[in-house]
Amino acid sequence: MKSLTRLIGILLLLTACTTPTGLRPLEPSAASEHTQRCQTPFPNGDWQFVHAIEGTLPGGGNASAIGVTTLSAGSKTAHCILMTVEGFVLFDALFDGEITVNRAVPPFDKRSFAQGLLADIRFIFFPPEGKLIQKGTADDAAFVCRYRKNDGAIVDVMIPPQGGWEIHQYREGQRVRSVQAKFGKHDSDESEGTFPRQMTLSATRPRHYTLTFKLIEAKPITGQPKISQKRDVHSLRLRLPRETFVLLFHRGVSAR
Amino acid sequence: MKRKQSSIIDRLRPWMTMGMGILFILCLPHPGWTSTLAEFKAAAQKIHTLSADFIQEKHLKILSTPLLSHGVFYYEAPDHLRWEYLKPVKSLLLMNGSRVSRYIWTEDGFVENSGLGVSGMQGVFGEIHSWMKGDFGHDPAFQVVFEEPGRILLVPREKALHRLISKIVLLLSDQPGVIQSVTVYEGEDAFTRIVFKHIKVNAPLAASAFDVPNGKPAATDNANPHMNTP
Repeated sequence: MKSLTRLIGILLLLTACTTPTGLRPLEPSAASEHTQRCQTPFPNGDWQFVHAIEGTLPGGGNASAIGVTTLSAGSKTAHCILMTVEGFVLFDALFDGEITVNRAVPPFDKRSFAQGLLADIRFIFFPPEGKLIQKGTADDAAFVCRYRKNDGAIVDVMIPPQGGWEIHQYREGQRVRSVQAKFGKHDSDESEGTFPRQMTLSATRPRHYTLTFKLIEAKPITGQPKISQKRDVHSLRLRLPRETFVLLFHRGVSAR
Repeated sequence: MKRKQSSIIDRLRPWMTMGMGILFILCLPHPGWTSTLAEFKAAAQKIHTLSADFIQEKHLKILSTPLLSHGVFYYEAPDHLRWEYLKPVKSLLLMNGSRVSRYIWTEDGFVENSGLGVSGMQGVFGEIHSWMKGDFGHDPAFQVVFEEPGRILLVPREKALHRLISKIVLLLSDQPGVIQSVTVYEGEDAFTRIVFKHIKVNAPLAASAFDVPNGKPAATDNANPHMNTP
C-alpha cells in the first residue's frame, strides 16, 4: 500500500512538472459528475456550424472569412469549407481519418495548411484522444480533466465556475494551443445556448496565430448524413496519422 | 518576404479580377431585355450614381439552407465605389480613383485589411475601368454572350480563372436600368447569387459615401446613410 501511494505521488509529481496547473483532487462522490462536465465543450451528434472567422496574419495584418463545419461526433468526421465574405470558396476538405481536399485556392493549397486546420478542428470539436489521467480543480476553482495523448501531449479541459470553457494543450511543459469559449445570447441558431457565441483559438507552435470564431448559426443535422465520402483522382489526399501524403490532381486547381 | 507576398497576390489576381469585375458589372446600367453591347455602352455613359441594397445567397451542397448576407453598395462615376456587407460579417470594399482598399470590422471598428494585397487590386483597376465604360465586351478575362433577352452569360476565357469560376449569369429585369440577380457558379454544387433591391439610379449620394471609415459601419437595411434625401 505504501509503495502504491509512493508510486501515485511520483506520478502526480511528474504530471505537475509537465503542466503548469496543479490540480486539487476531487471528492470521490463528485468524480463521475465531474467527468461528465468535461464533455460539455464537445458537440454530441451531428451538427453544422457557420462561423465568422477573424485572424491575425503572420507579420501583422488582419483577415476575415466564413467557415462552414459539418461534423459527426460519432464517427469523428468533419467537412470544412472556408470562404471569403463575398462567398468565394477558398478551401473545401473532408476529414475522416484521411484528408481529402476538394478545392484549395492558393495560398491555402499547402499541405501544412490542411494539417493545421485538421488539428484545430480536432482540438476544438472532438474530445481529446488518449487517456484521462487526472481530474481535479485548479487554483481558480475550475474543474479540470487532464488527458495524455499518445504522442505525449497533455490536454486540459477546463470548466471555470464563472461559465464558458477552455481547452489547453501542452508539449514539453509549454502551452502550445488554447481555445477559450464565451457564451452569450444568440438569436439565429437552433442550439439554444449549447454552443459558444465566440471561441478564441491561440497557437504558439510551430507558428503563432490567433483565430476568433464568432457563431453565425448552429444546426443539428437530421436525416441523411451530410458528410459524404468524395473520392476521385481529382483530390489532394492526406492519410493520417501516418501522414503519408499522396498528391493527386486537384479538380482543376493546381495544388502548387 | 515581400517577394513571397507578391507571388501570393499574383496567384490571387484572377480571383480578385473576377470579384472586382462582378462588382463593376453590377454597376453598369442594364437597359432592359433588348440589350446589346452597344446599348450597354451607351447607357453606361448616362449613369452618374447608383445605389442599392443586396442580399447574397451562398449555396453549397453541405448547407441545408443558403447562407444569407446583406449589404449595400454605392457607385459614382467615374471611379468611386462602396460595397459593404452589413451582416452576418461586416466588411467593406472602397474604391476612390485608383486607390482600392478593403476593411474588416473588428472590436475597434473598421480596420484596413492589408493582408489581401491592395497593390494587386490597384493593378486590376485598369481592367475594371474599361468595363465601367461599357467596354467589358473587350475584356480578355470573360467571353460575353447575350444568351436570350434578359440573360447575359459571362464565361472566363482563361483556364486559370475558369477553374475557379465556371460561369456568371446576369438576369435582367424587364424594367430598364434594373438588374434582377447575378449568379456566380464555382462548380455544380456551389454558387453565389446576389439579388438587388431598392436600386436608385442617378440619385444624389452623400459626400461621405466614399469616405474611409472611422469605425462605424453603414446603418441597417433600407436606411442608406449615404443617400441624400431630395
